[in-house]
Amino acid sequence: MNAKVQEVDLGLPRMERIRGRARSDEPAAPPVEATPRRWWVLLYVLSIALVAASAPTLRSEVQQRLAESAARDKVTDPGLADLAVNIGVLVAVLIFMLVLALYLSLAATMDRHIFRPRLRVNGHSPFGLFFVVAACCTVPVHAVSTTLAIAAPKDTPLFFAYVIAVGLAAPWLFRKHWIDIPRSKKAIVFSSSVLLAAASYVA
Amino acid sequence: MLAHLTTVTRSVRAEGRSSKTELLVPPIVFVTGIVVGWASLSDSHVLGSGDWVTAKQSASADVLLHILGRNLSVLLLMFSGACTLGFSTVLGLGLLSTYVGATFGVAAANVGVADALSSVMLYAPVEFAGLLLAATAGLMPVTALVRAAFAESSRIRPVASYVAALRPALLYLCYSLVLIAVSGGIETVVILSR
Repeated sequence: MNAKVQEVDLGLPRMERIRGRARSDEPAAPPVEATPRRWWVLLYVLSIALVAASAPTLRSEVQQRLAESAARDKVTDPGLADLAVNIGVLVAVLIFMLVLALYLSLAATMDRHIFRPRLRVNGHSPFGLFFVVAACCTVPVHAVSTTLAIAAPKDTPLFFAYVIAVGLAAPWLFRKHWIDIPRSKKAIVFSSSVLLAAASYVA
Repeated sequence: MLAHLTTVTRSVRAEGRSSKTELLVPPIVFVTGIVVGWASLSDSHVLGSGDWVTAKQSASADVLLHILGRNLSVLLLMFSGACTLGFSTVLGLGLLSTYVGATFGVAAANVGVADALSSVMLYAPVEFAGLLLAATAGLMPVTALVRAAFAESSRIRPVASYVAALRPALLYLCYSLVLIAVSGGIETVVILSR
C-alpha cells in the first residue's frame, strides 16, 4: 500500500496529467495540494523590498564604475551622468522584478509537478521542497547584500557554494517522503533541487 | 471603442488570463520612470534644436509620416515583450519613461512647467495611452504564464496560457495602433499650426 501511495504522490506525473487529461478507464487524479499562493507572494514582496533597499548601494557601485570607465570623458554633464546612473538602476530593478516572477513561476511549477509532498507549519500552510529552495536562495542572499552593502553578492564563490548546499540540503527536510522511492527518482528530486538553486543566480 | 475595450478586458479576465492588477503595471512603471528622468535633469538649462523646428518647414504629409514612423517603432518595442517573455517591454518602458521625464524636465526648466505642458497636452495623453496599451499587450502573455503557474488548478498550463494570451494581446495592439495614429494626426496639426 505504501508503495502505491508513494507512486501516486511522489512519482513524476504522467503526460496525460500534465496535459490536463485523464484516461477514461482510470479514476480522476486527486487535486495536488499546492504551496499556498500567499507564501509565494510573500517571498516575492520580501525579495523586491530587499533589492529596493539595496538600490543606494547599487547606485554607488554604478557611479564608481562609471567614474573608472572610459565613458567618463564622454559624459561631462553631471546631470546627464546622474540620469544614466538612475536609468541603469531603475531598469535593473524592473528587470529583476520580472526575472524573479519567472523564477518563482518555475519553482511553483516544479513544486506542483516534480515532488509533491508538503511540510506544514503548526499543522497549517503546507509548503513544498521547491518553495524551500527558492526561499533559501533568494531572501538570505538579498538580505546579506542589503545588510553588508554588497552590490554583487552573486559574483562570489561563496554564493555558489551556498546555493549548491541549499540544493542538496533542502531535500533532507522531506527525507521521510523519498527514502523509499527508487534511486532514479531520488536522483531526479536532488538534481532538480540543485538545478533550481543554481538557477537562482539570475534571480 | 472604450465600451468594446471594456468588453474585451472582461472576457480576458473571465478566462483567467489577465486582471486589473496587470493593467496597472505599465502605468506605474511609466510614472516611476518619468519621475526618475525628471528628477535627474530638472536643473538642466540646455535647449537643443527640436525635431519640430525642422518638421515645421516640411509638408504636412512628411511631418505626419515622420511622427508615425517614430511612434510606431516605439509602439512595436513596447509590444515586443509578447515574444520575449516581457523583457523587451520592461526594458523599453523603463527607457522610454525616463526619456520622457528627462526631456520634459529640461523643457520645464527652460520654459516653465505650464508652457511645457501646454505644448504637448493636446496629443501626449493619447500617445501615451497608446504606448501604455501596447506595453500592456506586450506583458499580457508573460503575466498569463505567471498567473497560470500559481493558479489553484494544476490543470492550467503556463505555456498554453502564454500562447492563449497572444490573441487578446494582438487585439490590444490594434487598439494601441489606432490611438497612435490619432495622436500622430493631432501632433501634426499642432506642429504645423505653430
